[in-house]
Amino acid sequence: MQLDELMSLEQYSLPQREKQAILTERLRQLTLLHRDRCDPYRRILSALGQEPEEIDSLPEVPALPVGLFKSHTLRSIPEDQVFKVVTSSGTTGAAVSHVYLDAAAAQFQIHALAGVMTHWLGARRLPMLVIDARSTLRERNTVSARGAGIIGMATFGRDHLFAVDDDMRLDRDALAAWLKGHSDSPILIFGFTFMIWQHLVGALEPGEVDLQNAILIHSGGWKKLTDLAVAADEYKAELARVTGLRRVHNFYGMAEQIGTVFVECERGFLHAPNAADVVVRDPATWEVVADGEVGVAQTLSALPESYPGHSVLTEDFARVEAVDDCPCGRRGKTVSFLGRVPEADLRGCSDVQAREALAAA
Amino acid sequence: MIVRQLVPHVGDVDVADVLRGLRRARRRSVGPFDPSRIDFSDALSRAILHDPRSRPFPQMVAIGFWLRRASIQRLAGRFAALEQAGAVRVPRGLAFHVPPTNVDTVFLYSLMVSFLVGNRNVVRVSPNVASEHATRLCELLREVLAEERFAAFADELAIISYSHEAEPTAQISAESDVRLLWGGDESIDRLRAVAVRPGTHDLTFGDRFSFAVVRPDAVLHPEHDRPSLHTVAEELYNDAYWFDQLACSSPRLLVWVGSPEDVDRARRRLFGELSQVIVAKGYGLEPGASISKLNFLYGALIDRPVESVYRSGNELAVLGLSDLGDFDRTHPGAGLFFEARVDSLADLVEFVTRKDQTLTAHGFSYEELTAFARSLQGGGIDRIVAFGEALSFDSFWDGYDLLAELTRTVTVAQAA
Repeated sequence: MQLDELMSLEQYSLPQREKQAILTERLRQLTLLHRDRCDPYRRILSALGQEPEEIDSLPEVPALPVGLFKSHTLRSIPEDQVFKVVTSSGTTGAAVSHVYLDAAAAQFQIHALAGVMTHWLGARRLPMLVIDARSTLRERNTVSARGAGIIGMATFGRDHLFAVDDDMRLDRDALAAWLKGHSDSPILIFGFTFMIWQHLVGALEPGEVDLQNAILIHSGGWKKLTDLAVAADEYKAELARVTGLRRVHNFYGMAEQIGTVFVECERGFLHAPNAADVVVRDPATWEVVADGEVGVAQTLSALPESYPGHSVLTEDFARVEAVDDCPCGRRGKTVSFLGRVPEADLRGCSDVQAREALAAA
Repeated sequence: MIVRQLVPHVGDVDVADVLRGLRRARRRSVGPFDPSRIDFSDALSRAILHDPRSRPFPQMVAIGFWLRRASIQRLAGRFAALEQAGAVRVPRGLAFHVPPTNVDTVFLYSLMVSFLVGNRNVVRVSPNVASEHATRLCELLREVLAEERFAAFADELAIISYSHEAEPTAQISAESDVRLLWGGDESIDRLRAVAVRPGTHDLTFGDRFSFAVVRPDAVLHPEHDRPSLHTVAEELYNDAYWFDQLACSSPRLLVWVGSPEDVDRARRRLFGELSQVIVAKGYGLEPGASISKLNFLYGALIDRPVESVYRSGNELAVLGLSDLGDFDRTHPGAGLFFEARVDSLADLVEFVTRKDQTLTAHGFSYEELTAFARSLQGGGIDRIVAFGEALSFDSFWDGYDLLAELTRTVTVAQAA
């Protein structure tokens, strides 16, 4: 099956067995393609004795650790065909990933993301509220993940309002006026998990706005919320209490695999889209763990052709919750992402240590 | 400025008061290697070695042994030899120690060498990394200092804890006669920029690199009086893994000196044995460390001339390099060895830089190693030791003779 056929299938309709067979063949081909076109990738496969011709299942697709996209340039297209470079979000000063897209790859990602989002939002564009500042977009050439996320999602809405001003404060008047203008229609709200918490839940009085008619899509990780000891169910409960918002979908995605995001269903589980899958590994042995066990997520995506990001070992803990039998009825794997693997605390006396100590200071 | 004091008492303290106390202590202070100083070291040694909590940790046992009476008396003997006729060695005065954040026993070696030659000492430890061992050692120091017979020493030793505030460092530096600055090159540069008196003597222990040389014969055919393969692997384990291979003196590169055929057989045996030792010792990495190591390893496969990869779990990765030209000394720690082969030790002369500290050697004669050290013409390497000795603290460190550096010479003319 070709990729466009895979993309044209109804989202979440493929039983895992079928899906695995299709993805395995596609990822085997991608592995061969990147080996041909990306010299660093070829060096890695060759040094590790990997034989992509023999790939026979998804876990056999060699995975690059995600940190490698931060430290090295990994491209499978000539430099002059780079159309866009997407960078990951990172804390200030930390290295960020660089993901190189040609025009076709950029188009493809939009198409793939649409294939996922229309499933949850419907084909009709909804009035869209962005819980962020317009200034977040103001960067050229390179696009930060937060900016890229907003731009990517913006295509699924209309009459956009950026509800946060450039001083990072909720613009209540603009929000109230905008909501009034769209009181007859369902609306789409998009923002980063923490921004939503801070600027909707945190800034509004209960009942100040009525968002019963809204669908919220949020992403960006729980790190800051974990620091505040806010759990997923409390997050949702507070949203409902303060704004009446009940349709809430978290998603997991990364700069290295834009387009194939994992979206949370009504039951609170994240679903792998048709063009992606996840394998969970034991970090002590890197063997695949049994479903239901926690390990480190390796994410696989059928999309990346311009850079070898089709199989990535993430730095996130995850657990496969169900295969083909989520109570919501969607097929494939459902998964919970359980947060970032904590940074290691090694001993020693090198500058690396000094830098870490300084960073902690 | 108010900082946290850990030794001799726990509590908040003004740096100015700490310095005032240390100034006052000079008048009562006894000389280098005074029997009471040796008694104190021995008492601390006993406290560490008798503590059941030290036993599982070889680095705690190692420092306990280093501090015991017999060992310190050897040091006293060497000190006496330094005092030539007509020259008297006296303490420098106030020593300021800034030990590395994470090699958690170094602060005590630094402190005790200086204490034994009669200096008064203030040690700054970082509050960011709460090391179990460092905390424990401070606790034991407090206990021993609380003994009546050592009461005077409580005025000579202060361990304080503060973050990266500039003020206490400046205050202490302004009064220091000698500073022992350990850590990464960047932190040392920052510390050296702090003003000191013209006569202040700085000893810097920066970021270093260390490697091992092995003759394959010594692995393949250990003679009856030489250590067995298992012992060699265990010693390599101790050298490399006690501090997650991040101690400056831990070997990170292993160079074989011999023919390709011998090396090929020997490396498989040595690293095979090492991987078994690692399992037997129960050494394991946190997931975060395994992931950083993977990032480094994959990067090395791209950037370096890697011709072979041997991996055993997360804990051992050996990257065979086809040559050592432009060798990049960055290293992630946590059980990663670069590996290379040369025909003779002489082939390494070009390779060695001033950054190289400890050469851990197996299968070479004293004469060969001495000749090699001379052939470097000062180009690098501060110590050459046997396997198993890489981490052994010595009063010679980073090319300094600490007994000499921590004291001053007073020459006295023969009576006219």
